[in-house]
Parts: sequence; structure tokens; C-alpha cells
Amino acid sequence: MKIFKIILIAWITLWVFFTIKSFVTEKDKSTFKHYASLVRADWEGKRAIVYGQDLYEFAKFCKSNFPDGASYQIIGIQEDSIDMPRLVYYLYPSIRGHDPEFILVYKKPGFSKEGAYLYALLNKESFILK
Amino acid sequence: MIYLHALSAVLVSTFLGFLFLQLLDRERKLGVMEGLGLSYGLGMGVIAIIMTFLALAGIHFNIFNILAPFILMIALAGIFNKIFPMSRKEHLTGKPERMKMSKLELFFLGAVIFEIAFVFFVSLIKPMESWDAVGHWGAKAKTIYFLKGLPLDLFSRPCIEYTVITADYPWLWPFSQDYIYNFIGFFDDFASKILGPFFFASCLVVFYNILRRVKLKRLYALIFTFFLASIPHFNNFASNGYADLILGYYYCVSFLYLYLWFRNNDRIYLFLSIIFTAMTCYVKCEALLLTLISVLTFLSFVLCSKSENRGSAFKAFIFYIFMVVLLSLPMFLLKHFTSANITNQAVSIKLFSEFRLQNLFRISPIIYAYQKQLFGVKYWNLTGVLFLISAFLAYRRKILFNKEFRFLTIAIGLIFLAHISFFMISKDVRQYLAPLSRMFLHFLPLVVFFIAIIFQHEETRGKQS
Repeated sequence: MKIFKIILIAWITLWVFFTIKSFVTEKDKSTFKHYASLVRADWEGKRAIVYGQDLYEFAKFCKSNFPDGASYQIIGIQEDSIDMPRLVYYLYPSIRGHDPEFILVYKKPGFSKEGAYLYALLNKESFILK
Repeated sequence: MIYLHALSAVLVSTFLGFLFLQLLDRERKLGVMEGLGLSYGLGMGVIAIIMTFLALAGIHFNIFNILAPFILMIALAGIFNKIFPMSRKEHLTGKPERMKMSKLELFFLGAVIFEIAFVFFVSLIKPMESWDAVGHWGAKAKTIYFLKGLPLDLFSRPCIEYTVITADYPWLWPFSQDYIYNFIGFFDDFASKILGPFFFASCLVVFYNILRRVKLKRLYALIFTFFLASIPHFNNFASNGYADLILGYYYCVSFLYLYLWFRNNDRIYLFLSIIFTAMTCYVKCEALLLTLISVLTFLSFVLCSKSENRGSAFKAFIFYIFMVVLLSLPMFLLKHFTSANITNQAVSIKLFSEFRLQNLFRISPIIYAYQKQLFGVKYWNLTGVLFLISAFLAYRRKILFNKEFRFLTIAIGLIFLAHISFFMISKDVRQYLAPLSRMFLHFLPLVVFFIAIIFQHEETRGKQS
């Protein structure tokens, strides 16, 4: 029984430690500041914080610049990056396909493809080719 | 407003689940809180079964098509209950305790409520965003919402490529999210984030009640519920949109009610175990392994029964298997039809042919991965340490295979054994060891329950001496 009591105290100590740590540690994503900014933000702002401002802006730009259900290819985001499924998920019902109508270029200035022309421009780095 | 809409969807499914539970629990053995904890999962599970049938029949998903069969089913069961009434017995645990709570009890109750509130907070301030949440589960939910149903040829059509990789995953979690979208009438992945925390809260409520059913004092039941609630990895997975905690909830309910049935043979426990075991198969592929372990544990119960009871135990065993197969069959059919020609390598049967003798040398990375989890305080607090101490104490007192503990020992032992065997066989052990911490979540409540009953045994022993 003694050992259980010792562990109970150690458990609560660790619980308090990790709970407080998650609020105050600067490096940790779950900081108090992070939560506070999420609470203050509106729906779009929350998504922008979570996805990253640049990616969300690009996702919104794409969504408003080509029709739902269009097929596309993404250039500039690595396959194993979390940004890829987030963008693909956000853009559905448009589908990433092998024979795309649009090429979404993210942070790849000067990217070009033979036969494709500039369809919409977000900024110098990010744009849509058709 | 979005959250209020989503909350209404949850309340409706929980209410229907509660009515369904009342019809199952004809002798009124379950308490109200316990019933509510079960009703949420039951409601979502029944909705998933209905949506599975709708998908198999090629019927569109909308709120009428989803809820009408549920209401009809309850009405029919209600009529059956009227025709064949059953005498009601006293509540199993007697009158509910009205004793004033001690300061310590209030502290642990407050800590559990804090954890639940925190999980809701973390979940609701973000949309779906983590890997599996947007890549698999959320993507499937969004797809079927926009298609207004689940066509059997979904993966032959142009669709999100991540969903094809997981084509043979069960559908309860995407169906639950889709139910929310259908209920509120539009797609909003902030709204569906309300579901995870409710699974977390329900798991804790049911876990507490089961601890009380095995006669743990209220204070101790609260302490162990707090232990479960405060395990960082456990509550992280309540808010990130993954399905592992959901499987943990269904498996916890299914196994622990089976365990209660082993102890005192109340029919309602067996019914609950059957329904929730079948529902685990609607959550994740790993459920098949867990179901097999429940079946083997049940078989050990039959073999351990006294000869005069063995016949009835065997009948119950056959009934259990038959009903679990019957209830989970629609999901296996749906998986079969939707994922024909698509093989998920992680669970492919082909893996068994890849076993080589030199795989036995893999034991060192496996042990290393296990010790990392067992002593990983940041993820698990002291669960691993407490589990090892409890297991050691149980071994020293020679109670590991006592009547009271043996079925939990067998189940937990078999789960570890099955995991290790899987890692031995698999092609790339390091790849499969990576999600080990998530696999632990599936049976974590069982481990905490094991610790709790060993603690109870120690306490009783201490008092006697």
C-alpha cells in the first residue's frame, strides 16, 4: 500500500508539472499564447493559425480561383509534409490527379511548365497554372 | 452556434442510444450515469451500423435515412417489451450513494472534470488538422458528405489519394463525422471535433462505474478514473481527430462488461459486451485482433468453469461469437465491397509468409520500443511503472491466475503477445513499431483497471492482516 501512495503523490506531481509546462513552455506548440490566439481568432483565423498563415492563404486563393471538382497537381510541397494532406483535404471536392487541369504552385518562384499558362496569381512565389 | 448545432446532434444520438439501452436493460441494472456513458457510444455505433446498411443498399445518407431506422428499431423493441414485460429487480448496487463527498474525493472529481473540460477546449478551438484526421478519417467523412453517401465503387472513382491507402479501414469514425454534417446541414470540421471529447468523457464515466461495480470505494474509483483521464497520451488523442481513443473506448466497454459477466453472470453485461465488441470492428482494423483476444479469453472462461456450469458457459460462448459475427458482418461486407483489389500492407495476410528465422533477432528493437513506452513519463505518466509493480505484486502473491484476476491477465498477456508476434513477422519492424504508442491506447483502460483491482486486493489484504 505504501508504494501505491508514493506513486499517487509522484503521479499528481508529474501531472501538475506537465500541465503547467504545456502552458508556459515557449518551444511547445501548446503554449498559453498559442491557445489564447486560437481563442481570440474567428473561424478563418483559427484555421490560418493551425495550417500556417501562408498555406491557408494559398488554399483559400486556390479554392476561390478554380471550380469545385477540378483536378490539380501541387508543386512546392513535399509529399511527406503535413501541409500536403491539409491542402488536399481543404480543396476537396477538387481532386489531385495524374492528368490535372490546374497546377498549383506554392512558394516556387519562376516555376513553369511547357504548354501551361498563368491562370491566377497570388504573389510572385505562389500561383496557379492552367 | 455551430457547436450548439453539433451538440444537438450528439444529444439526439445519445438520447436514442439511451432509449435503446433502456430496452436492453429490462431489469434496470444500470445506473443513469453509467447509462449515459454507454448511450453515447451505443448511439454512434448504431448510427454507424445503419449507415453501413444504407451504403450496402446504395441509399443516400441524409438525416432522415439515418435516424428513421434507429427510431423504428426503438419503437419495435418498445412494443416487444410491452408484449413481453419483465419484472424489475433492485438496482445492482442498491440505492445510489448520497454520502457527502470528502475533500479528497472532491479534489479528484474536480481533476477529472478539469481534464474533460480541457480536452473539450483543446479540441474545439481547432479544425481537423492532424495527419490521420485530415488524411484518412476526415477526408473520408468529407468525401461521403459531398457525395451524399458511400458508393461501393468509391475508390475506383477520382478521390483523395490518402483515402485509397486506407480503403480497407472501417467506417465508424467517418460515419460519425458525416452524421454531424448531415444533422447541421453543411460541412464544418470544427463541428465534428465535438465527437472526440465526448468519447473521452463517456469512457471515463463508464470506467468509473465499472470500478464501482467491482466494489472499489468511491475515493479509489475516482483516483483511478483520474489516473486514466490524466494520462497525457490518452487525452491528447481525444482531441486530435484520430480513431485510437475511440477504439479504446469501445474495447474497454466490450471487455470490461464481459469481465463483469464472468464475475456475476448478469445478462445485460453479456449483451453490452456483444454489442460493443461488434462495434469495435466498425472502428479500426486492429479491432479484429482485440476481438479474437476477447474470444480466446471467453474460451478460457468456458474451460475454467466448473463442470456443472460448463454447458451454459459454452452456450453463452457460442451465442457471443454468433452475435458478434452477425453484428459486425455488415462492416466486413462493406469493407470487402469498397476495397476490393486494394490491399493495406499493414494488415495483409501475406505478412505471415514473410517470417524468417532471423526475425527472432528483432527482439532487441522491440524490447527497446516497449521500454521506451513503459517508462515514457511524458506520454504515460507512471502507468508503465505502476503496471509493472502491480504485475509483480500479483505474481508474488500468486494471484495472477486467481479466479478474480485470471481473465484480465490472460487478455492483457495475449495483447502483448499478439503485438510482439506481429512485429516479429512484419516486413519492416521499425515502420510498424512507430505507432506502438497508439496501439497501447486501445487497451490502456484495461491496464489501469488491472492496476486498480490489484490495488483493491492489496488494500483488502492490508486490512485483514
